[in-house]
Amino acid sequence: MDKNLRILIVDDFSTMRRIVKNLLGDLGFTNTAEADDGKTAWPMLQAGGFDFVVTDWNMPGMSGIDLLKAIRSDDKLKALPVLMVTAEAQRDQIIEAAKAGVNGYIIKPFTAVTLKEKLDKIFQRFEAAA
Amino acid sequence: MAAVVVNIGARSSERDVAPSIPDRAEYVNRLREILSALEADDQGLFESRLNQLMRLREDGLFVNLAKLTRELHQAVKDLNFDDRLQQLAGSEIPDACVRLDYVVKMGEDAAHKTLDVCDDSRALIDRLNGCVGSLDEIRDKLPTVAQLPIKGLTLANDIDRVEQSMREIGSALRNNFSTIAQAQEYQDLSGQVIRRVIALVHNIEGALIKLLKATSEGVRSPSTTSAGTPGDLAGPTVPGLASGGQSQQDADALLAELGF
Repeated sequence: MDKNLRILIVDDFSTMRRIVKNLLGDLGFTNTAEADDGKTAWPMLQAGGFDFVVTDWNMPGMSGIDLLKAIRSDDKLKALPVLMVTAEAQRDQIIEAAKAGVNGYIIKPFTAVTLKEKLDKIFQRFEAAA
Repeated sequence: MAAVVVNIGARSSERDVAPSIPDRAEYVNRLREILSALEADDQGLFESRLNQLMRLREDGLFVNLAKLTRELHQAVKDLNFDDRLQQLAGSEIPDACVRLDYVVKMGEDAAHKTLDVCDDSRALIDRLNGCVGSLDEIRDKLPTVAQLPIKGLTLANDIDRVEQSMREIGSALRNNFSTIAQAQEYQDLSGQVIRRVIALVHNIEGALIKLLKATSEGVRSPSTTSAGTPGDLAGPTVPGLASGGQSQQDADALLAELGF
């Protein structure tokens, strides 16, 4: 997989953004940018150049699920892979995210191994489709 | 809370009497009066007696509320905070929010401090790898010593230099581990603050249950399932709390079922 992928990390907690950023860095993905909620992320995504989104669910302003829905209903962005990394662990929420078109779902707290596993799975599928 | 106290005060002084909670005998008397008025078809008397009874009951409610508010206030005041927390802690409920904000901030500061040190340690490990590279270079030069013994001195100097670097890196890493360990001390403080807020919440809960007992037919046991309306988020799953939260394995299985 292309380690130069540009990844947008969306989370309202700066520490969690740093942790995700470090874990991605350990996996070789260093081309990252950060946003503190969906509202901040949206214009960044609209400006283009991102290949992947890692987002939290529960954020002020615009939640991760709303961001995911906005991405899926935008002609330019609808194919963008989205990985949800969230503390929301209710069955209904996982189903809602799946229906909204999420590509992977990680429940916090999570490990580096889980992150790698989900990323690999998403990229495998994208490479198979390409 | 202050608003409730003000309302009670206004209400009591309006009546200018200290209302008491009616006892059983009083209820029986008053209900008999109401019943006889009703049987005698005296609509006016019935209405006025019924209103009196209702007012009596309402006043009882406010007496209880005032009493419980005072108790709650006292309970809040009785929470003794140690000097370090005293700066932040007041003695009222809104201060619980300040204290919890402080907990959030302490946790965040500690996390950032730890992450800073991790970044620094990564750079140190890179330097350590550089040292390994330097040692390799020195090893490659060893055969030249046989031809030119003076080279041995240069190589010994090179080894000293690398050794010095490795000692520095080792000591810096040791420092970083101490910093990481020390950054965890916030757990102690935040634990204390959270416990005090939990005690406060228990006091409020107790007071509200007393209030319910005093004013309603009985206390329904609080629902243990989350009563969130659709759209509400449950937040992190807390071990020991039945919340229906899924584990990563559950989530993976569920998504696999959905064709992921």
